[in-house]
Amino acid sequence: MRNRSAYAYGSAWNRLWKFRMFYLLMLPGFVYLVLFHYLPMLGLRFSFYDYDLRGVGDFIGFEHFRDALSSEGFTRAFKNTLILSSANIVIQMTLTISISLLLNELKNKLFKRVVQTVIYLPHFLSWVVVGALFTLFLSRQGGLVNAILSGLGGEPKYFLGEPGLWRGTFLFILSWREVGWGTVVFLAALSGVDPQLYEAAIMDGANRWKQMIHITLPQLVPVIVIVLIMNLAKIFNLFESVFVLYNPLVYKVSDVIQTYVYRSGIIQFRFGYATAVGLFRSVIAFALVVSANKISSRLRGESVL
Amino acid sequence: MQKHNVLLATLLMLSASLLANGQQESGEEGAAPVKIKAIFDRILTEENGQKEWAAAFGDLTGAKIDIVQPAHNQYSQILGATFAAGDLPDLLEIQTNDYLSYALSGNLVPLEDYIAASSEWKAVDPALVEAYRLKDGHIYGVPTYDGGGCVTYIRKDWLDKLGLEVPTTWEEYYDVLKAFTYDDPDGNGANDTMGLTLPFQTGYEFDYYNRFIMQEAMFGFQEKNGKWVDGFLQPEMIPALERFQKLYREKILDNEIFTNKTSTAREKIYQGQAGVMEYWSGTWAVRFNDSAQNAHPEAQVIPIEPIANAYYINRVGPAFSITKAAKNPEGVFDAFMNTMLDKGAGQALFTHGIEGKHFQKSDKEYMMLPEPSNPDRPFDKAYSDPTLVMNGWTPLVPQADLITLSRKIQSENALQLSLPQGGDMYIKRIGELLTIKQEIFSEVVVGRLTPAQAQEQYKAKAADLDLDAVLAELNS
Repeated sequence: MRNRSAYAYGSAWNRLWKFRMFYLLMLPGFVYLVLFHYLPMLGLRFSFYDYDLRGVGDFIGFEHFRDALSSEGFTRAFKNTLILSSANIVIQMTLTISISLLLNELKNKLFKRVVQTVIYLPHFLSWVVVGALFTLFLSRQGGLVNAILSGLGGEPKYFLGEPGLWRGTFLFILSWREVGWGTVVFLAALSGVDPQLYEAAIMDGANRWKQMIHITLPQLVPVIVIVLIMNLAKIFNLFESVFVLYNPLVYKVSDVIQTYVYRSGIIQFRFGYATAVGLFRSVIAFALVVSANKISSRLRGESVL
Repeated sequence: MQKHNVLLATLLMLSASLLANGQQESGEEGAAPVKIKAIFDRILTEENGQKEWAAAFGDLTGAKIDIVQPAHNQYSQILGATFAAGDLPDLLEIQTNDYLSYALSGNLVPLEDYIAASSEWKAVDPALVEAYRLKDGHIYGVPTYDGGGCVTYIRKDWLDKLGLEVPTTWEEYYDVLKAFTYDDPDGNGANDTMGLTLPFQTGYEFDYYNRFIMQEAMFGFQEKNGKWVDGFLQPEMIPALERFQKLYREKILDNEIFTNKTSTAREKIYQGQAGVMEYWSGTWAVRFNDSAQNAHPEAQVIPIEPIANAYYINRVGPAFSITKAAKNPEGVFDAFMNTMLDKGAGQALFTHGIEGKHFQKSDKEYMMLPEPSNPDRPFDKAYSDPTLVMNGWTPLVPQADLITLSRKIQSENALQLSLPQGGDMYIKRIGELLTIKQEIFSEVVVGRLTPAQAQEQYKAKAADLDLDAVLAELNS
């Protein structure tokens, strides 16, 4: 008679057959990943080719990369991406965690659900709609924000046209759209915190603030690290948000790698060059994720990837 | 008797199938195309009867056409991606700014021999066709229509209310814009109007607009004394930038031009927020007037002649091209390009669509029918613009007076643009040159740079982007 462990450690085919239903369930996701995430990677080879509307030309090695690194447009876009993405991660993480903690403290369930729904909603608006809405709200010609500013005796501001104001305005809009949705993960994590910990803390005389600092936050750390690493992976992905809100007056503070890639590849048909810039972006993002994972591993003794 | 009928029907079916087979074969061998796979931009949408149009085209020419129509605002990008994927259509419409890239791509079929052999194209002004000839001597596209251009539209009722005449000089134009901004032209007692609005144009179409401010100056590359130069570095750009600066500083020019989309700017005219805007001549003349009257019944928007020292432009329009994927390019040319200019049923189909669906004859004359997608508005065209006819054909549907007037004013005062023809360096650098030009222009308009500083800054940055090599290519 075959024992359980022998069966469990049997041939790959045996395991495959035993868990066939699980593999079947996994199949659509696997096919999706291969088709839309791995197969397109074959296109990365175009980074090393002269590729435009004429088709794929000669192999040119690292020429596109050299071109990009010597281009003022690329270096500026790279710098802007780092600034905007880093600021966005810090602001969004802080706001998301703070709001999640506040929501967790709400005792009235109905009110909590209403607040959650209201702050989730902006996430479901497309960036085109968000762009149009904020262009109207922030207009100096009858826009709500400037009307309030003027009413308070201030000067109307061209929020989307002043380089000094654009980044702040952009980060505000980005947070407005995404912070509410970001709380989903943290609220889920908070609901999993063992209530006995709070009961013990209460017995020890801890007030709500101390409970939050000494129980809730430490319990959230693994999720915070995972979210941080996931955000780092997306650090260079800013596109639609910038695309609908930028203009030539603020290019110097707003042009990011993805908008640069869009102009190079899609508008100017420099497909090889745009692929090279995109690959460069992915390599940096990958390095950031691996570094963050290593740091997390050293600090917490375990990695999340 | 019945047997005779059955025999007759069988014979008819047999001959029909033989004929059909014959057509198919001849199509493959070169006489007539059987199938045309096309990518078009401005044709009727599906909702407005594109499939019926394609069927009518098939009935007329014997060619079956399958049309793909990407979204208008993403047309250029989607077409580029289609080519990048190697999925070439047989026939396509190419936007003006992209023509050179496609023509140099080696994917298009030279058309000059077909044009020369065509009786239909003999009626077209050769200059319109020659605009598409490349330095290699080949013509890779034919105009979709006479390129046309923009005119300045003005609120005539505001002029009348303020006791002003249609401006004929820069000084008068400035005074009118100032009065529109500060003298309450709508009479509502509020400071809520501006003289001039415009959208920020992100490509070289910038030169289609703003002619009263730009006057002799050109934003893009221009031919000057037989030589291509960068318009931004020419002496006449300095006073043009000064005019922009002055209007912006005094808030006579819409201070939100950089965040204006074309639709936003148009809406400001419709809603009575602005009194002047330069926009396309033709059917837009009626749209401006009607839309403004919807919001303000007393509104009257009219096209005006250019002021002294200014002129309008006639652009090189989008092109129809045939790719090397077409098995029978001559057949495609004959079925499509010749039919659209046949001065008969074909040109009527291209211009007005299908009788009974897109247009119909009322008691006295033909009229366009309402669009299914917007029943408040009649069709203005099926594909070819009736106001931009190239071959002297008179459209069946008479045009509104305002349309005719705007076209007349534009065409009589327009300078014909030509396409800059660079090579690899031009194609590589044109985007970045345009980006820095836009940025520097914006900085001047809002007063962060003087016009002279702007030219110096552009000159330095453009030198790093091989402007000299680009110009050398244009002039080679």
